[in-house]
Order: sequence, then C-alpha cells, then structure tokens
Amino acid sequence: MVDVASSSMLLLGRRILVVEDELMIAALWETILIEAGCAVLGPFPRIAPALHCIAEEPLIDAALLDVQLHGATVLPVAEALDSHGVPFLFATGYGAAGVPAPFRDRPVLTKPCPLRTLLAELAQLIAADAGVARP
Amino acid sequence: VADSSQHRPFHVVGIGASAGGIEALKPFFGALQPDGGQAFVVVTHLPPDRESYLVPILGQMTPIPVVAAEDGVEVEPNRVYVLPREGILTIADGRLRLRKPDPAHRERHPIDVFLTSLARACSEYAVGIILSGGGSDGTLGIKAIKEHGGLTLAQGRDHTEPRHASMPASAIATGLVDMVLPVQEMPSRLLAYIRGFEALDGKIAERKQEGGVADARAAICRILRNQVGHDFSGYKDKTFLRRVQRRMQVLQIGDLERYVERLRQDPDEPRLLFRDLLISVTNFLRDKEAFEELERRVIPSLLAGKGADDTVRVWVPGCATGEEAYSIAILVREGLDRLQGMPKVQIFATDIDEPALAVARTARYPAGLLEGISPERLKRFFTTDGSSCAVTKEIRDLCVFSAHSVIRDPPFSRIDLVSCRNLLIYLDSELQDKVIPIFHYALRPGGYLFLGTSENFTRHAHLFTPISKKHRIFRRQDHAGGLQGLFPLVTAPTQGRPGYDGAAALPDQRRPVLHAPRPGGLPLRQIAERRVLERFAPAYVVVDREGEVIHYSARTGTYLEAAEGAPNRQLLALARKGLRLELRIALREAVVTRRPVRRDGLTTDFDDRHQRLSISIEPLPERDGAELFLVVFQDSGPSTAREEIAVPAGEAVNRDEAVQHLESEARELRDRMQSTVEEYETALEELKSANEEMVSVNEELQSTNEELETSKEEQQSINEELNTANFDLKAKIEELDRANADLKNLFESTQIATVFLDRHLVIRSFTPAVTAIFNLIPTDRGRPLTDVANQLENVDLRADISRVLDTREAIERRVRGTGAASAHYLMRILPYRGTDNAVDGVLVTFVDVTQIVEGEQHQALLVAELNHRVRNMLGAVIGLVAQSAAREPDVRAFADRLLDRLHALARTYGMISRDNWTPVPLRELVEAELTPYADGDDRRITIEGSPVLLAPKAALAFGMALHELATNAARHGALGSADGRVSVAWSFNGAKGGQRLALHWREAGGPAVEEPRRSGFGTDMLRRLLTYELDGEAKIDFAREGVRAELSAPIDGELVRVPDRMVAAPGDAGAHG
Repeated sequence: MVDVASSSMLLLGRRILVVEDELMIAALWETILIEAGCAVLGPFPRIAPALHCIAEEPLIDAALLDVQLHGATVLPVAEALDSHGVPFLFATGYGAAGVPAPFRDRPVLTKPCPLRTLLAELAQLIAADAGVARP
Repeated sequence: VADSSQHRPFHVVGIGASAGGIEALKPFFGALQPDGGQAFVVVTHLPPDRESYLVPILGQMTPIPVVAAEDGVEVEPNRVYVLPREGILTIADGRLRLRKPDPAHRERHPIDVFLTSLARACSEYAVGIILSGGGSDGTLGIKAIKEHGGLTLAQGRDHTEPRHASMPASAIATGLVDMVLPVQEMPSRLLAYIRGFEALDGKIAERKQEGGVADARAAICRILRNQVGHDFSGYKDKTFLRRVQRRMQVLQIGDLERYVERLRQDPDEPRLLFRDLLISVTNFLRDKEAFEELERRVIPSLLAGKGADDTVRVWVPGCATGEEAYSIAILVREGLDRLQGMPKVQIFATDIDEPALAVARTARYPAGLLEGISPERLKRFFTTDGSSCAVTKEIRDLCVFSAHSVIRDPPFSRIDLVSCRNLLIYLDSELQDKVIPIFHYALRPGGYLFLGTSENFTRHAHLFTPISKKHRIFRRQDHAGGLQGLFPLVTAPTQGRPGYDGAAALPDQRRPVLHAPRPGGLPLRQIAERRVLERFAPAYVVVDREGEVIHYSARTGTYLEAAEGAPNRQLLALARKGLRLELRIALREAVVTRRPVRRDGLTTDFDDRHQRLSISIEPLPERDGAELFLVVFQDSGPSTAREEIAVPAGEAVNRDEAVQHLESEARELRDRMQSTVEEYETALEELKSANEEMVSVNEELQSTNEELETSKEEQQSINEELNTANFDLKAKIEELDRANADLKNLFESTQIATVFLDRHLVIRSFTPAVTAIFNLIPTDRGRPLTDVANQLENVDLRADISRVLDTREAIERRVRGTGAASAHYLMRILPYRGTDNAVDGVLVTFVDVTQIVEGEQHQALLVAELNHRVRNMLGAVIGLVAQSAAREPDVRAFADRLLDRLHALARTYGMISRDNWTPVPLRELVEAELTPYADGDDRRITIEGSPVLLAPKAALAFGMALHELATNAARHGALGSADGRVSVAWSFNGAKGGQRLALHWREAGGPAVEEPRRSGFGTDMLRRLLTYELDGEAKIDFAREGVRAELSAPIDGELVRVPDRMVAAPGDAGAHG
C-alpha cells in the first residue's frame, strides 16, 4: 500500500485521463487531481472525445474510467488504453459486477468513494505500472 | 317402544333383505309416507369387514332420517335404522343392541335373530317384512313375530317379483305370512293396518258398554264353535280382537259387522281365523306340561325292554322348521340314558314345505326360540355361538327330515310314536278324518299318538284310547278285547295242548293278546258253553292272510297232519291230501274279497277212510292291522271205508273208467299247479327280500340327500354373501371410475408437466403438458424416458432419478429449456410411493417458471439501476458540496447557495419521479424555477415555446442550468429589482435529423449588468452542464441592459424530443419561437 505522502509524490506531474459522464463528479475529480499536482486530460463524458485524446496524446500515465457513459460502456476506451499499455482504474456505481468482462481483473472503485482512496488507488496503479515498465 | 311406559307405543318394522334386497328396499322407502309414526330397522346380510352403503342409498329415497344402527340407541318413530356392518342386531327395552360378530362362528341368520328379538320386545307392535333374498333367513323370525301377535309381510311374486325369491318363499311357505304384497303396496297397507290397530283400541274402550264389539265377538265365537268345534269365548278380549282385526286387515274389511257377515258366508274364513287364533308355533318343548307328560308316561314305555337290536321309530308329520322333532329327540335321548343297550332311534320328521325342512336340517335357531329349555338341556344338547344355537350332532343324527305329505304319500309304518302337534289345525275336518286312521295304521300296536293341545278328533275315537286327555296323548286301540272274546276256550288246559301259544312266533310283535282263562273263575254258563263247543262244534283253525296258523281247535287231526321236515305252521302244508288246493283257493278268495267262502263236497283220506266234508273260511274283524281268518272243517256225513266210496251205490260201472281218467288228469294238473304255486312262493320271498333291501337303500339315500341339503344351505349363504360383496364392489368400482375420471380431467387440464416413471425409468403415464419438454406420444407409455429426447439444458435425468430412488428424498431445482422460447422450469423429482408406502418409481414434474424468472431478472436490473442512480446522485451531491465549498469563503453564503442548489435538484427529481422517470415537459421545468420570482406579476416572466419533452438526465441538466440563471438574476439581475423582467423562449432550428433545441433567456429592466471579474462556480457549471450532459452548449452574455443566455441541445429523440405531432411540423414550432 502506498501511503498518502508517497501517493502525492507519485502523482506529481502525472497526466491522468478522466472519463466520466456525471458533471459534478467529473468536476470534483478534476479539482482534486489538479490539487494533487496532476495534469487532467478531459474529463470526457463520451467515448469519441476520449478515444480521440488517447490517439493524440503521446503520454498518459493512468486513466480513471466510469463504466457507463450515457448508456454506452466504456469498453472501447479501456481497450484503447490497454493497447497503449496505459494502466486504468474503473469507478462505477454498479460495483465490480458492472465492469466489462475482459477487464474484470482491473482495480475497481465503487462510486462515491472517499477522495483519498481514489488518490491512493491511482498512486498504487502508477507504482505498479512503474514497477513493471520502469524498474 | 311398544312397552315404554311414558310414550305412546308405536310399531317397529323389522325388514329383512338380502340378495336383490336393495332393488326392493328402494321402492319400499320411496312409497313410504314421511310421518307414518313407525320405526324401521333394516337388516341385511353383510360380508365381514365391509361397511354398508345402504344408509346413503336409502337416505336418497325417503325424507325420513336414515341412520346407521348403533349399540344402545333408543328407537324413535319416523326413523330408519340400518345395520351398518356385519354384526348381531337385536332390540330390547326400546333400544337397539349391536354386537360384534364372533369371527369363529359367523351368524348366518341375522334376520332371524333380529326379528325374534323384535317379537319379544314389541309383541303386537312388531311387524316383520321379508324381502328378496336367497336362503331361508327370516323364516324363524316371522314365526316368532306371528306367535307374539305381530304382523308379517313378504314380498310377493308379482310384476315386481323379487329377484331372489327363496327367502320370502320360505317365509310364505310356513303359512304364517299375513300379507304377500308387491313392495310398493306395502307402506300403504302397513299404514292402514296400523290405523285400524289404533282405531280398534279406541273402539274396544269406547263401545264396550254399548256392547257392539261384544256382540260381534259373541257372533264370531258362535260361528267358530259351529264350524270348527272350538269355543273361544274364554279368550282374552284384546288378543281375540287383535287377531280378528288382522284377518280383517288382510281381507281389507274395515267393519266388524261386515267381517262377521264374511265369516258366515265364506266357508274357508272360519278355518283361517281359527288358525290365526291358535297360532302357537311349536317351539322347543313349548307347552311344557304336555311334554313333561310325554316324558313321564310315553317315553319310558317306548324304550322299555329295548335292546341294541331293536329300533324305536317316531314320526313327526308336519314338522315345519323342526323344533318339535328335536324336542322329542331330546326326550328320547334322555330316556336312552337310563337303558342298558342302545336301541336304534329313528325320528322321521316330515313336511311338505321344503324351505322349512331346509331350516330344520340346518339345526340352528335364534337364542330367543330356546326360552323353554332348561339350562341343563341347553348345555347338553345345544352349542351356542353368539346369538344362535345349534343342535348337537347327537340329537341331529336321531332325526331324518324328508319331504312327505301325510295325505298324498304312503304313510310310515311300525311307528312307536306319532307326534303331530302342529298340523291338524291346517286341515279341514274331511282331511282330519282321513289323517287319524292313517296315524292308526302307521302306529304299531300299542303305539302312541301325541297331538297339539287344541287338536282333537271325535269321529275316530274308537281307534285310540286317551292316556292324557288334557295333553292329548293317546294310545293305539289294538282291539285286543274283541279277540279275547273270540278265543276264550282255545287255550283251556283241558285241551291237552299245554304251553301252546299260537302267537308265539308271530312276527313284528303283532301278537294278539291271548290270556289264559283262570279255571274256576268262570261262571257256570261259560263252562257249559265251553263244554258244548268242545263236544259239538266243528274243528277249526285261525290263520293269518299268509296261511300261518295262529290257533287250532280240538280234533283237527282228521283234516291236518304234521308235514315232514321242520315244524311248520303253514296251514297249506299241514292240510291233508285232497284239501290243500281247495284250501289255498278258498283262502285266497277270502283274503281278496274279505267275505266268507264255502267249499262243499270235498273228500279226504284218513286212516283208510273217506270223509266227505265242507270248508268254510270267514274273515275275522281286523285286529292290529292283522287280518285273521277262521277256517272251519265240517264233516258231511259219517266217514266211510275206501271201498264203499270207490263203488258208490247206483253208479254205472262204465263211468268208473271215465272218472278214473279224469281223476288222474286232475291229479296231474294239481301236481303241476302245486309246483307252480311253489315257484310263485319262492318268487314272492325273493321280492320281499328285494323290497327290504330297497327300503334300506332308500333310507341311506335319504340321509345322503340330507347331507346334500345341508351343504346346499351353506353354499346358499356363501352365495348370499358373495352377492352382497359383489354389490359393494360394484359401488366401489363406480367410485373409483369417478375418481379416475376426475384425476384424468385434472391431468388433462393441468399445466404442470408430470411424468410417472417406475424404478427403471419406464414411463407409466404423463400429462399432456409434458409434450413441451419431451416429445411424447401416448404410445410411449412403457418406454424408458431416457429413450425420449428432451428439451432441457444440462439435465442428467438418469443421475437425478437414481439419486431420488436411493435417498428417497425429493430433488427440486431450476432448469432451462432449449426450445425457441427458452423457457425456465422448476423441476421436481419426487419418490413415488405405492399403496404399501414403498418407493417403486418417481414422479417428475416441471412447473413453467419462465415469467417468474423474467420478473426476477427485471427486478435485479431495477435494483442495479437504482443503486447506480443513488450512487450517482450522492456523487453529484458530493461534487456539488466540494465545488461550492471551494468558491464560497463565507459558510453562511455557502450553505444558502448549496441548499438552493439541492432544493432545485430535489424539485427536478420530484418532477422526474412523479411519473416514474418519464420525460418531463420543458415548460413545467421553466415554470417551476421561475414562478417563485413572479411575485404575482404576470408581466415579469414570460415563457414561450412549443412542447418539448426532456428525459430525466436532460431535465436535471436543464433544471440546474435554469436554476443557476434564476439565482443569478435574483442576486444581480432583473429579478432582483421591482421592474425587472425575464423572458424565456425556445425554438427549434437546424435541418431535420440535426435539429437543435435553442432556449433563449433574456433579462430586461434590471440594474446595469457588469461582467463578473472571475467566472463563478454557477457560471462555470452552467457552461459545462449542457456540454457535458447533453452534448449541448450554453452561452452567457453579460450585456449591460440585461443578461442574455442561450442554452442549446440536440433533439436526439432520446434525451430531448418533441412530441410526435410537433416533429411532423417543424415550421409551426418555429412560428411559436
């Protein structure tokens, strides 16, 4: 587990993609990620702009994905991220059962969740990815 | 009941029925009036361990309550009691008694048992009815009822002929059934009888003084005295009149006077009434004194001096059901105890009534008929089982029952005792005249005649001498006195034939009683007469019809000589030559004609002398049935020497030759005749012995016949039971058929697919609904279910079923069908338990639960959606709080703004949830946000636009946006000042397919607007909301004269849509904008 201090360290300067269709939540996440020193890509409420962003941006450190976006699933975004080797985290009101089948092994947050949990999970994700990609 | 003191007595009707009885009972109860006031008790033959269905069957036929008879139940009028199961039903003291049958000794005559108890309990108020049935049950019961003064009915052979007639026929044959009727008529005749019964009671009471009834009674008595010679004036009024009334009822005569008239005119009626009045059924040792007299005075002499080789023969003509015969058998058996040797005893009990004989042969009687018997006798001669008593074999074997008519058939003979206590009253005087001599004939000399107390004979008084006048015991008159008078001299000692007793060798004890006279005791005249007779009377002998000499007179030597060979008393053998043939012919003639015969001009040779003589034979008066003849030899002229005779004076010599020739010819013929006669005699002897043999063979046959009768009786009663059992089974089968049909219908109609399998998974049966799962056709019964393809996903039926068979526990789980409908089923596999509770198969059922499963899935979906929404909402609130907090330094202001926003959110939610998350009209949304600021002034706020529907998500977004605009206007813009106005108008623009909704917000009349230095949270949210949530756009222009804003969103048909008719005419919509 990564503690709060180290999580904030890990998150500094990271570029985080946020996909979330609920404005209030997206805004909240945006706010706290910026406060944590991250650069926020998005937030995107729909799949098309998110995919566009993934295709355009050269560096994405991690992604925070809502599962349901205005009635569509976030699966295409997750697949695109996976193909780019970007770690991601699901945040959903439906709980773990709502996660698309191919990515059941990925971390899942149940909305709403405490903000520090969100940051910690995100840091964990980055740390793990760092452990694999940049030893 | 009848003897109950506090109630008015009422009639109890006992109905006996057996095979075919239900068909007879139904019309009977169908014709019954509901308030007749009688109680009915129905007794039938029931097989063991089986409930009767009669209660419901009869219950349907009559409004009278029909109940099962129970032990101890008080009998009430207007009620029908039915014997519900095999048992012994009796009645006593107004209550029914029901006992369990003794399984070791089945009661084969429950009807007799009940009717007998009914007769005792209710006497005159008893009514016995015998309906269709086999066998002879009820016959003894009818006798008992009749004897106690009750009424008896039997089902008649009519158009409603009983199906099995032998039971009623047996009752009718006793002659004791008052009315023989078709069943339908029984209730009305019964009622008429009872009404008459009650009326008579009244009449006796009321008319006693007037003397009307007394007059009628006296008239009847007079007629009876004249016609049948019996005086009934001493009889009790009530008893007498009851019987008269019963006759009236039978004849359907309502009036005493008219009945008296009938008595006068109908020659048969007095006799029938007489019989009714005298009904005294011969019970065991009934009429105690008479039997005691018989026991004391007759039985000992019957048995006296009898040894093992002797036979005692008793004849009971008109024995009916055998009580009288068995009574006498008991007395004789007890008499035998006192003897050394055991003579053979034969009691011939005869009657013309075969059914009654069948009862007699069975030798079983209801206990009620044995009242008169002492306990010692009961113990010794009867075996009691349950309610009936059987005569022991010891007694039974003494009696031989056979069908025989006293009048038509040849009588028995050599009988020691004739007991006829119950027959003569049934015969008219002409027949009685015939019968008494028959008895006389049948009895051996000195035999006894025992008659019923009310019977007598006057015309033949000379045939019998009374021994007990009171008890009607008589002894056969042997005419001994007459014979004695004829032969006083014969055995006088002076005759020089000492010790001779002519009767000594007579067969059959038919010996005339010849008493030797006591010499010196005779009067002078007799002595003189005897002397004259000895000296002057011709020689004579007395012979019987066979020619055996019974008595010789003196001086017979001239005519008779001792024959050679063994001593012989045959007259024809003793007669001297020349007399033999004439004697034979003359004797034969005398026997046949029974008139005196005389032969003259005979000659005989005697010591070289010729004697001419005449013979006369005359019959003596009959005595003891033995015919005797007096043969008198009379000489005609003195005897002559042979020569003198050879040449009679005056006879021509030339005639001698002819005479000699004729004589030799005659001699030859006589010899020939003699030999013929001897042959005839031999043949006669042979015939006699053949006859003897025939008689004994006949007796053997009779006893065999009897055994057959007995076994036939048993067969009949078994048959009876089978018939009843068969009826019960039929009813049961019908019930089963019904139940089966019900089940079949249930099967056909049920939607629950069910398959019945045996241990080896072979299909026993299935319901039609199964065909949705298994492709079964009716011929698949008998095939293993595993051979049939099923439409189930992942179901191993074989494994499941064998588990159920092993564990005997049911399995229940859900399975899916593979068919197009992909139905869901609840599959249950249950052990099939047979009648003995053993598992011999399984029951597989499938309940279609597709709808339930779909419902559950839908529900799960709803719950998940709700969870999602709640979490989203909470996330939104958290975001809202966090954002607001970041921008409002003042807590108070923060709280106000936050609450405002939350209220707005809640309002919009209220609208959305009001109609179950259905789209909300835009106008309502706008009105909800702005109306609070109108302050009652219509002009402050104007709203324009054609109908648009917003899905919940869009409604929330527009709601929030409008709220931010409104609060902003209230704080800084037009709604903050008294003159400010806000107009909201929306329109559609863009081409079809890419149409957009554009809402314009215009403020006017407020204070001057300044561009805020930094965009506030509200403005930020406003701008991002529509983009984010609806892919729309929000523009705000802080113009000086008033804030202007444009909110736009695509009309995608889902989040934002125009009601159908508006989309069709976008031009109209534009006109509104």
